[in-house]
Amino acid sequence: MKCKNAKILISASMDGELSQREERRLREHVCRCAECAGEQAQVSNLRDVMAVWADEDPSEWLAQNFACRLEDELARKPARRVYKQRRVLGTALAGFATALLAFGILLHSQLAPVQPVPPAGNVQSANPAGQPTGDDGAAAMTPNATSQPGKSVLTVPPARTPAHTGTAHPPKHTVAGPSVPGPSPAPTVDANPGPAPPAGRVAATGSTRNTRPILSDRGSTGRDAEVKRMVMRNVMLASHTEGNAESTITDHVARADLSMNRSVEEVRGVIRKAVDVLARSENRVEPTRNF
Amino acid sequence: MMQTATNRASETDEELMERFQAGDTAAMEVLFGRFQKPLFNFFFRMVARRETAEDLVQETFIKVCRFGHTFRGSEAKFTTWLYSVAGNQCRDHLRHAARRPEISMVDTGEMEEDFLENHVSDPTSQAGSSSVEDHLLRMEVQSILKQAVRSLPEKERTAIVLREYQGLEYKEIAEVLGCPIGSVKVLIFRARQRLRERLADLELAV
Repeated sequence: MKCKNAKILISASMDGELSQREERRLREHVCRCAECAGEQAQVSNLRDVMAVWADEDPSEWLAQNFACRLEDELARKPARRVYKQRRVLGTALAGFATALLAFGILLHSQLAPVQPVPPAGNVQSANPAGQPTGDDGAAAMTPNATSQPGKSVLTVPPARTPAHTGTAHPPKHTVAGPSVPGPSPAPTVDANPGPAPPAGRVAATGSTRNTRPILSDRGSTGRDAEVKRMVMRNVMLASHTEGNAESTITDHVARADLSMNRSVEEVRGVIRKAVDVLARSENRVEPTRNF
Repeated sequence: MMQTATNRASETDEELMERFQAGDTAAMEVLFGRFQKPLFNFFFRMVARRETAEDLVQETFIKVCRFGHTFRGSEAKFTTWLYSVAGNQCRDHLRHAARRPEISMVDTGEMEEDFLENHVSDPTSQAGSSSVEDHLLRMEVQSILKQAVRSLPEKERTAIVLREYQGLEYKEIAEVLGCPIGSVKVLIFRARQRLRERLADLELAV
C-alpha cells in the first residue's frame, strides 16, 4: 500500500468507515511506516481540536417564526393550486379565442362580396329592383336603409367635371346604370339628379376614392342606422373639404363599412378617427362628436 | 392530547413525514422541533452569521413543506433527504453571497462578551483564574477553528461538517452531495489536510 492511499484510509478509519480487510491492511502498513503512524496521531488530534466547537442553540423565536411561516405557507398552498388551474384554463381559452378569431377573419375574407367599382362620379344603387336612390348630394347620402328591400351601396358624391374624373380607372363592372369607360367619361346619373356639390372639391387627388363603397346595409338595426347616418353626415362633410383629407376619410369610412357587421362601437371608433382627420386637416368643418 | 404528543415524540422521522403528507401539519412542527438545532448548527458552520443560519433553517423547512410530497420513506432516510435540501439551500445562498458580498458580522466576540459578563466582570464570581484562562483559550481555539473551517472549499466544508458535527455516515454524505463514497473519503481527507495546515499556520498545535 502506498502512503498516499494509506493516508486517505487513515482518515476514513477514524470515522469507522473501513471494512475489516481494509483495516487489517492499513494496520500492517502503519506498523511499518513511521510517517503514516504520525499521520494517524495528527488526525486523531485534529478531531479532538474540532470537538472544541460545540453546538449552539438557535434563537428562541425561531420556532415561533417558523410556526407563522408554516401557517402562511399552508394557507397559500390551495390558492397557488387554484391560480395554476386558472392560468392553464386562461391559456386554453385564449388559444381557442385566437383560433376562432383567425377562422372568422379567414371566413370573412372568403365570403365578403367584392364591391363593384363604378366609374368615378357615380352614385349607384345595388338595389336589384332598380329603384332609384338618388345620385349625389344630401339626398343621395341619406337613403332609407330600412325601406330598401335589397342591399344599397353608397359612394362618395361624384365630381361633375370630366377633368376631375379623368384619372379614374374604368369600372370592372357596373351594377346599375350605364357607364362610359374612357379617359373622360361623362358622369352617369341613375335617376333623380339632385343638386350637385361644389365642383372640383372632392376628386382633387385624382384617385379612385370617389367610387369606393362607403356603407353597406348589412345587419341594420336602430343603432346601426344611427351610425350609418353619422357616417353619411361625415362623408358629406368630407366631400366639402379639400381633397387631400378626403382620401383618408374615405378609407376610414370604407373600413367602417367592413366593420358594420361586427359592432357599432367599432364603427363609431372608425368614424371618430375620420372626423378627427377631417378636423385636423381642414379646421373648417367641425363635425358632431356625440355619437 | 397528552397521549398524542407522546406518540408523536416516539414516532420516527419517516412516520412523522408520512403523517405530514397525509395532512397532519402538527407533524411538521414536531420535525422542526427535532431538527432545528442540528440544522441551525450545520448552517452556522457553513455561513458566518447566526441570523443567516436561522433564515436558512426556516427556508429549508418551508421547502420540506412544499416538496414533502416527493419524499419516499421507503427509499431514503428523512435525515439524508433533509440534509440534501439543506445542502442545496446552503449552496444557493453561498453562490448568491459570492456575487453580492455583504459586510460579515461574524460572531467571534459574542461568546467572549457573554463569558466576561458572567465571570470576569462579576466580582462575586467563584470562577478561578485558571478556569478563566482555560475558557479564554478554548474560545481562542474555537475562533481559529471557525475561520479555518469557513475557509475550506464549499464541498469539502460540507463533507467535513456533515461528518464531524452532524454525525452522518459516508454513505449518507454521498447521497447528500450526490457523489460516490470514494469521493466522500477523498473530500474528508483533503478537508482534514487543509485544516491541519491552516491551524498550523495559525499557530495552533495539531
